[in-house]
Amino acid sequence: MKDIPNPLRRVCLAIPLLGYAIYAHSLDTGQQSLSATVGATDYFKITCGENTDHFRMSLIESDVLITNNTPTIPPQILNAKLTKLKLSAAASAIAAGSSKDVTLKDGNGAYTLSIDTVGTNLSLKTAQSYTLLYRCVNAQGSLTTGSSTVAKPAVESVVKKLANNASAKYIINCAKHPTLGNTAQLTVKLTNKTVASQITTPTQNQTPPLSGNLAAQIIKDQTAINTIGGEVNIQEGSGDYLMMVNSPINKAQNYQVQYNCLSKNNTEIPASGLQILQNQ
Amino acid sequence: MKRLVVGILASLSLTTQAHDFSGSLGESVNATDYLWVNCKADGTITADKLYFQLSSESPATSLPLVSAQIAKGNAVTNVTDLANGDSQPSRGVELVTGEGMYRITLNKNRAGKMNYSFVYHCQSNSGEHAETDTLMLQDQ
Repeated sequence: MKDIPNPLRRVCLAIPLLGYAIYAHSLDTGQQSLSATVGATDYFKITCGENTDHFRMSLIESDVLITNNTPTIPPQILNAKLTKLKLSAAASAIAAGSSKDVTLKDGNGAYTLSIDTVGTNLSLKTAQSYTLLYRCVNAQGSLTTGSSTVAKPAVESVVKKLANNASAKYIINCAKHPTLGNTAQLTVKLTNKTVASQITTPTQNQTPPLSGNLAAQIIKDQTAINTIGGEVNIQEGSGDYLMMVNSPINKAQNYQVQYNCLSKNNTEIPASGLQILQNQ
Repeated sequence: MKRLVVGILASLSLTTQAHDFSGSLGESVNATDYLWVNCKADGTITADKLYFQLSSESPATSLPLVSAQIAKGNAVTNVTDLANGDSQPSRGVELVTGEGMYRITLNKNRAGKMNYSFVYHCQSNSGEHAETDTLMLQDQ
């Protein structure tokens, strides 16, 4: 048995212009469904008006229509975290070409800076590049005493590399300055020096694949043509065109048929409504 | 290239006419062969239906499946030989729509040349064979 057929859709624009009428028709069967009954065939008749040269139709398997949604792919990013004893502060999602500061206020002592790539688009294989610049400052924001193997205080480090799923740790020591007093906080600027990658998504084929699970035949007079999808034309003038839709493998299948009656120069000719002769 | 064979077989007191047709479909997936079969009464034997059974004659390695549609009036049925290269034909189908002209179209679901044959005959409801006239309209 078949679902209740959807009403036929017909869009017809009639534009009277200086005594002439221009008609534009876009016709289709609406959503149809073929049952899995062995030998099931839907059967239609379309009557093309006078001056029709050819009949054009396209068979579309509804279930294989491909949407054009582009998936969102995150870029390469770095994350930074400063910890000292039980305190921590973090800056996350530092994208290629950008920088962020992370600040932890815990006085003099050893701070641990951790850097990772969590959240990076793993389809991008290139290791990321970055630099660090740290500043140990007192409560007034003046530079105090700092030291680390990564760079001198307030001087941008050389460029470092970090691969996907990797992490790095650095120790930064902040101490009392002889004249400016104790360190109040440590600020680290992490700059992601990675060249922003051109994120490409796989090209999607907008043409539904032709499975061969559904076929249609058009007949008029002594001419017949078969299609399993895409556009076909049958040039038999005005009159009744018969259209059959079936599945070689007896597969239940939703589908849609778009059709036009066309003149020699491909202007649209008015057509009758679609007559359903058999609905299986 | 088509070959139409009409064989006359004697069986008991009935005269049985078996119609066999063999042909081929070209490379294009759009290729369609098209025939008209006119079923007429043969004396007292009425032509109530058309019997049809299809065989793919291409090797098992062939990918396309050959199908046929039999149509008359507002009724149509589809039949496919679901396996290439075996000795088993498709199921037999009957379109019970009385005397007159039946349309038979043959095609396939993929590109590729395919050979096929089929058996058909007009019959009465009781299975007696009625007059069967065939006209080949399109050979692709």
